[in-house]
This record gives sequence, C-alpha cells and structure tokens, in this order.
Amino acid sequence: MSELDSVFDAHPVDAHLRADMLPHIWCPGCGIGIVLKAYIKALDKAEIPLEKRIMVSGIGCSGRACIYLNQDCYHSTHGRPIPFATGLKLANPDLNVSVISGDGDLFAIGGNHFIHAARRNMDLNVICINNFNYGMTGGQSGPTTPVDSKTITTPYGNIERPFNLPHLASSSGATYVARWTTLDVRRLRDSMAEALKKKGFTFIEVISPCPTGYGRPNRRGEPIDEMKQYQEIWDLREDNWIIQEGADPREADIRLNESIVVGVFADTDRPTFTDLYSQLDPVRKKKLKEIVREDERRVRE
Amino acid sequence: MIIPVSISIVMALPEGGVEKKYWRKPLDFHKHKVPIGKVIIIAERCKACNYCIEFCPKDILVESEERNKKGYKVPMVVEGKEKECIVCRHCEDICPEFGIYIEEIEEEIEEEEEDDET
Ligand SMILES: Cc1ncc(C[n+]2csc(CCOP(=O)(O)OP(=O)(O)O)c2C)c(N)n1
Ligand code: SF4
Ligand code: SF4
Ligand code: SF4
Ligand SMILES: [Mg+2]
Repeated sequence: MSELDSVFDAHPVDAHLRADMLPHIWCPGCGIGIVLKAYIKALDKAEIPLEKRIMVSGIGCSGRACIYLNQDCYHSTHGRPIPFATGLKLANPDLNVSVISGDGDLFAIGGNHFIHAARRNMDLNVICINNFNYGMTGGQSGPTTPVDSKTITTPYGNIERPFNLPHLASSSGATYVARWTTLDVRRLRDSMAEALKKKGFTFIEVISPCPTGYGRPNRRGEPIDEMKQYQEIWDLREDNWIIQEGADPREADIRLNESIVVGVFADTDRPTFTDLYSQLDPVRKKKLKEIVREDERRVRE
Repeated sequence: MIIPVSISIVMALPEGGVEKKYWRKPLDFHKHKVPIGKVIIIAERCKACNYCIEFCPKDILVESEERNKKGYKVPMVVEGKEKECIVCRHCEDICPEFGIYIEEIEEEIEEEEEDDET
C-alpha cells in the first residue's frame, strides 16, 4: 500500500475551515496558509469561544485568508480592515476582533488607520503578513520592500527606505509588538495566543515567502529557498537568544540578504479606548440630561 | 495519556563526556511508552513545496513519483522509516496547504535497565 492510499482523511483544523474550498488559491510555497493555520491553533490555545471570534481582512492575497475561515469574518475593502474592525469592537466590546492582512493593505493605503488605531489603543489584534510586495496585483514594490530589492516596479532595485514595522507599531502606541517568520510556527502560534488574550492594540508581523511576486525577481529560487533563508535567521537566533528576545524595535530594520531580527519587541499595558470610553459614559449621560433639562426650561419660559 | 520517558538532567563533564542523572527513578524505568506518529498526507491539497521534506527533523519524508490530479509530486515516508516519526508536528504546522498531519500511535518500547552509576 502506498502512502497515497490514505489521503482523503480530514485535517485536524478542517472544522475551522471552509474545507470544501480547498485547495486554496495561494501559490505553491506561499506562506499565507502557514499563518492562517497558526492563527486557528492560537484561537484554540487562547480558548476564544467561537461566538466571540471575528476576523477582518482587507484586499490582497493575504486578505483572502478570511475566505477560508469557518467563523465570523469580514472581507473589507482595500486598506480599510482596521476601521471596520474598530466599528465592530465599539458596537460590541465583548468580541475578540482580529485583523489579518498584507503589508500593502495595512501600511500603504491603510497606513493612517494603523497608526491611529495604535495611538488610541483600540482593542484589536493586528497581524500583518509581510511578503515585501503587492502579491495579488503582480508584485509591485510597497512600503516594506527592502532597499535594492527588485520588483516589477523597481527593476533597477528599490531606492525607497521601507518602514520598520515593529518600530512603527511600538512608537504609535501598540501594547504588544512581535515579529516572526513562517518558519517559527510554534512561536508564532504562542505569540498570537498571547496577543489574543491581551487587551489593547497588539501587532504581530509575520515575514512570509511570496515566491511568485517577490521571490522570482529577486532570484530567491524555489519557494524552499526563501524558507531556508529563514532557517539561517533561526540558527543565528538560537545563539543570540537573549539579545533577540529583548530586541530594540529601532534596531529591527530589514535589509536585503541580512539576517532579520525576530522576537517580542514590546509588551506593556495601558488603558484601551473601550476602557476609557466606558468610564466616560456616565459623565456624558449626566451632561446630556443637563442639556435637555436646560432646553426644556428655556422652552417653558 | 503519554508517560514521560524519564526525568533526567544531562550535564556536560569537564572531559567532554555526558553524565545522566535521574533525580527520580521512574517505577517503570525499564519499560516506557514512546509516541509514534503516522503521517497522513491529503494528496489533492499538496502543491509540492517540499517544506515538510526539508524541515522534518527526522528526515523521514521524500519526494515521490506519484502525482496528484494537479500534477504535483506528493511526498511520502521513506521506506523503513514508518516508525520514526516523533510527533513533533512541525510538518503539520509548516505545510501551507493544510495537506499533512500526524496521527499519534502510542508504542510501548522495552528497554534494558542501564547501570546506575550514582
Ligand atoms: C482602492 C483599491 N486600490 C487598489 C487596489 C488594487 N490592489 C488589490 S490588492 C493590492 C495590494 C495587495 O498587497 P498586500 O496588501 O501586500 O497583499 P498581498 O497580495 O501581498 O498579500 C492592491 C494595490 C484595490 N483593490 N482597491
Ligand atoms: S502572489 Fe505571492 S502572496 Fe499571492 S498567493 Fe502567490 S505567493 Fe502568495
Ligand atoms: S511530526 Fe515531526 S518527525 Fe513526524 S513527520 Fe512530521 S516533522 Fe517529521
Ligand atoms: S508541506 Fe504540504 S504542500 Fe508542501 S510538500 Fe509537504 S504536504 Fe505538500
Ligand atoms: Mg504583500
């Protein structure tokens, strides 16, 4: 009997997926599926009940993650998952709201929403699948494309300085900031579970292979070669574990063909927008009543 | 339930040798259960990225000549290594296609009692 005879069983996470839609549309070796599986396992690990799970995504290959998830999801417009997620959270503060989207979606067209949601400490879990380019539209350069990388819009190498996402997130006010690669599946899952349980604006960047859009013009070879590069980063980190764990987000710039700093960059607490808003409520109600009474008095006079 | 193999502290000795110390000797010291995994591949989902082959710590998977409907060469377990999976589930976690998972089979292994040096 060959191994292929036992192929039609269901995968352990199939219950959380719209499994009838598999195989998914992502290219061979694309990292988005790895992130989605880690997210599913993290939801279970953090024991978030199904009725409280909400995932919002934008437009792009990464944004399609919500299509395959068998739970409440919102596939919003390009760049706007954070405003949609904010609305959901404010309307029903009991929900555990996550955003999973791409680097272009969250930091180019949606960059403004990101910094302001972090500044407000909106209680959201934002996960960015950073593949250094606009995968879906054919591999254009974006706000995270490293200097000198080739994309179809930077054929002579990118001259723009990219965002350092952990630094951007922590300086904007995020309470939890981490970065992992798709090879760090365990740590990614555990970190996602921590973020899901944490109150406030959390941010996790996942460095993910895009063999079609980014790998090809940069001669990364087969999909496996991008993952092997992550393995080199991994090996390096095992030696410098302590340094990497307490990493300074200012030192987290990504440069072409250099090792990538991963780890947890920030883990702090401060009141969330919903906390402060609920505290504000009785005062506002009292004020409102006073205004109404004043109005009534004036009408009577 | 899986019984831990043994609770041991491995210390490097100055000469470079390794000393094994048991702070509590398990009652079933000579006999313990080791989980063994059965690799299950959902062939029609596989896109032959070979991540599972590359990153399995026990190197038990290889490319096969069998192709699925889309023409991808689906991995298989190396002949003779069927009982070597240690259920680390790294392949399961790393597969982007939800295409491979592990079923845990518990196997009892008899072991000769080692000389107790301490
Ligand atoms: C308003 C608007 N502008 C532009 C587009 C075209 N568009 C679709 S996806 C995308 C970028 C996706 O990049 P990213 O968010 O990094 O996702 P990836 O595909 O790389 O996962 C763009 C520009 C659009 N759909 N809507
Ligand atoms: S283009 Fe890139 S991001 Fe999009 S599915 Fe293909 S590999 Fe993934
Ligand atoms: S569970 Fe671990 S040892 Fe078993 S096949 Fe997968 S990667 Fe290899
Ligand atoms: S990791 Fe998944 S998709 Fe890739 S070769 Fe293995 S089973 Fe196939
Ligand atoms: Mg992208």
